[in-house]
Amino acid sequence: MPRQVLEISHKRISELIYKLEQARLGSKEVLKVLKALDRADGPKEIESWYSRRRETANGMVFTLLASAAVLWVGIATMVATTDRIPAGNYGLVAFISCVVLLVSCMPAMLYCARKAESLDRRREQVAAILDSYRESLCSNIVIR
Amino acid sequence: MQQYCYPLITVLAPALTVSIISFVLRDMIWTYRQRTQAAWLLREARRYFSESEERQQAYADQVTVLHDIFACHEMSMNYHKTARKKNDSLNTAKPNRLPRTNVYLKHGVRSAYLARHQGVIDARRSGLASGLALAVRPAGSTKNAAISGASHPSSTWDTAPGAMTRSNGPSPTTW
Repeated sequence: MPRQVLEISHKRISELIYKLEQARLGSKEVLKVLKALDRADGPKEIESWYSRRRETANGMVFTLLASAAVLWVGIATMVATTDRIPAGNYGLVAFISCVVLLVSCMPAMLYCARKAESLDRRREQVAAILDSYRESLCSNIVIR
Repeated sequence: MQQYCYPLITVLAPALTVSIISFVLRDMIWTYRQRTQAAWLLREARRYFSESEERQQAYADQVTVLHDIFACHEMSMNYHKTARKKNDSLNTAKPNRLPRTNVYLKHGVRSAYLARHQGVIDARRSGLASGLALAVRPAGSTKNAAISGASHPSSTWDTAPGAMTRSNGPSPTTW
């Protein structure tokens, strides 16, 4: 019987490692998952952790979106007040700086949006890993 | 109005651009490093668990071992970070460029695991961080009472003086 229990235990850990490798989680995420495995409120903790990270990413997206809108209005005002692209000592440099800032906001916004989506996907993967581990634990208990 | 606004925009806009780009790049690099570390540690763990030794059979829950591998790794990372902040040249002689300078690469997962569970006191000598050396004392070992240099005869925080109490795992606030 101990040999059988050991084999089951070995199978469980092998499956867990395989799933963690497939999910391509970061080391901090893996540690969170491992801590949550044997806790009753583990899935909730994981859920809230991912929710917080998602909220942060969404906050970044909204901040960048608002910044882009403000920059767009600023650039439009610059052009409208002078009826052309601003010139002079600082005018052209300020205009170019604003355009570059606006352009850099766009990929950053896309990156944050994609990150928020990937966090959702990873949260589902982690939930699946936790569920399958608990199922294997239940089957282990039944065999014992 | 324009003579004040344009110089201000000329200064602020490039600074903001650099901040945004550096934030995104830093986040991308951080994510990549985290994934690399996890993949490497999982590979090492798989190698460790693929061995069939009697010692492994003594430990019932192998998930605890896996947890310890990652916890020790995080502890080592935090130790190096703190050492870098303190500008400790001795401890930052090898900066933490993973996975090359990680303790597991030098000594393997098995060494780290043994150090964690057998209480190797000379862990520092074998390359483990001193933070890890403090953490690997076995449960039930004794520690010195806080007499020397203290204003009180013993530590007032001890609920069980002399006993080395251990938690079930790392504190969530730390990790």
